[in-house]
Amino acid sequence: MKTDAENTDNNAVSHKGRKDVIAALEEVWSREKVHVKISIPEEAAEKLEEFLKEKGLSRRDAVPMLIRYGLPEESDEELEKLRSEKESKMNRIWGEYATTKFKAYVYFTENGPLTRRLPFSLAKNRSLKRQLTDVGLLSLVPRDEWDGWDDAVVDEYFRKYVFRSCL
Amino acid sequence: MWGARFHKTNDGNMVVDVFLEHGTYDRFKAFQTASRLDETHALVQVLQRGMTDYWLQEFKHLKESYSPLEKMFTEFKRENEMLKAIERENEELENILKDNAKRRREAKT
Repeated sequence: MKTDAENTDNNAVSHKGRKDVIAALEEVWSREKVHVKISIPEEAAEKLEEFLKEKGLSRRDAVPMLIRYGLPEESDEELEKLRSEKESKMNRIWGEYATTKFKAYVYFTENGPLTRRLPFSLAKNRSLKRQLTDVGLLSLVPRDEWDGWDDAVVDEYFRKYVFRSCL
Repeated sequence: MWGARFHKTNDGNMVVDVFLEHGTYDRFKAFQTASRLDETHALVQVLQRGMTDYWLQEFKHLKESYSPLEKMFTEFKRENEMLKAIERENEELENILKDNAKRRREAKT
């Protein structure tokens, strides 16, 4: 049994450890970024705050994003082309994007339990095909894509749908 | 510490305290040089343009992310059909075996 003092010490150590990890991550992260501090007039700051509030954006993520958006990589000609494309396609693409995202999510969610049952389903499938062969019904044994699946294929399904590494 | 923060200064202005990717920072400096503006006015102009073109840039990102999403959707759908097909086939094969056993029993009697 650990004493309260030992627990307090351990908590302090783990808290310190966490702080060290965060500090190390911030150090690595800041090396990959440029720290900029620029003063802007209060009026411009208020306008920015109002925009963020209206769009429901967080200052933390949105300000670097707006700076990026304000410094486009495209030429004026490309932006004009994009602008007219947006006018004609925005609603359709938003609609298609939202629908496709929802459908993809539904299939992904369904594939989780199906994958958990996959080792059993595959073993059963092979056993049933063997039984059919044994009773002389070879002609009724279908040839399927999954006949050649090995552990690596099953592991890949688990990685994707159970451990969710593709998201 | 990460992301952006504002600090109010004594003269009423606000300091935008932000971490930028190297590419964005380089583009900002290039814009500042080309437009011959000081950092403050350059940043105000950039932020203003960012706000004006917000939906345009969102549209661009939407277009860019639509193709990988569509690919992912096709893959999930195909694999969903395959996983269901294995279970469906198991039921069919079981029924064939049951029918076969029944026929054999009937033939014996």
